[in-house]
Amino acid sequence: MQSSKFDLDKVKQLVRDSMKGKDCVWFSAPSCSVDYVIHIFECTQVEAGSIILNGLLKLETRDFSRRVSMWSRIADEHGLESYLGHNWYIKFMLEDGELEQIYFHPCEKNMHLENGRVITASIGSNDMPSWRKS
Amino acid sequence: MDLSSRKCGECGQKGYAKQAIKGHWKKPWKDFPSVFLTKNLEVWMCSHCGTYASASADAAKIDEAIESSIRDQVSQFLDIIHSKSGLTFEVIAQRLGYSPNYISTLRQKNATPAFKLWNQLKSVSIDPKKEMANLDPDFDIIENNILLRA
Repeated sequence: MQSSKFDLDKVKQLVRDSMKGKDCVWFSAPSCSVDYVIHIFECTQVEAGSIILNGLLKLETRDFSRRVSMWSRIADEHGLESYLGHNWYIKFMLEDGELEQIYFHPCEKNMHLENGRVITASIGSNDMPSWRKS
Repeated sequence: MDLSSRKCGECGQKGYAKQAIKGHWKKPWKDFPSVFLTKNLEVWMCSHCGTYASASADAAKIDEAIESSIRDQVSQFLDIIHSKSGLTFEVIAQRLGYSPNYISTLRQKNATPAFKLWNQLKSVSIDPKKEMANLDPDFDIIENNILLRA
């Protein structure tokens, strides 16, 4: 059985540090995280960041899906169920003591978790942002 | 946070550089599908694919630049409408369907309007005299022949 590459406790510690003002979390693909959250909730950048960080704090080891290769590095994928009315697809990696938040958006298709659970898609194509439709 | 040696999450290339941007920011913000920045915003941009990256700590700075741009534009739209239409702000408020107090708050840049009002003001600012006349509640819709079935 595959396990996550990154320790969720370390991830959550970085999230808590970030919430206290430490500059240790960044969004490397905002169109799939911050901008997507803004599109869903019609909120500000600060609010979107807060939604993402609070969502990460809700992750448990049972939410792990798989390790994926991304630009010759490894990232962890997780699925978060029933958070703010959606199921979420989450991808991140840790590097140099910083959390690189890559994807954090509603599941666009069903997602299989390592433990056999299936997280169902929670957004239809009509509600997706225009930049995700093409 | 220094992202200069980081890989872009969109294209996988290394090469973020700080860039001051102004003009179209084709990203959503609140209920705005995209915004037009009239204030400089310095962000990390991927020099390969042109997408931005942001540290969590940058969010407030981005919000400030966007909000300040929108408020400044709205204040200018109202001044343009007032000067070119010759109408008082009270009449302008009535024709737009908002309270004079709210319009005054917008003029003083103390509130951020919803996208709907920002877009309406932008549109009216192009030809204030004509658009304000169209918005007059006493505008004669029969005489102006805009009904399909009178």
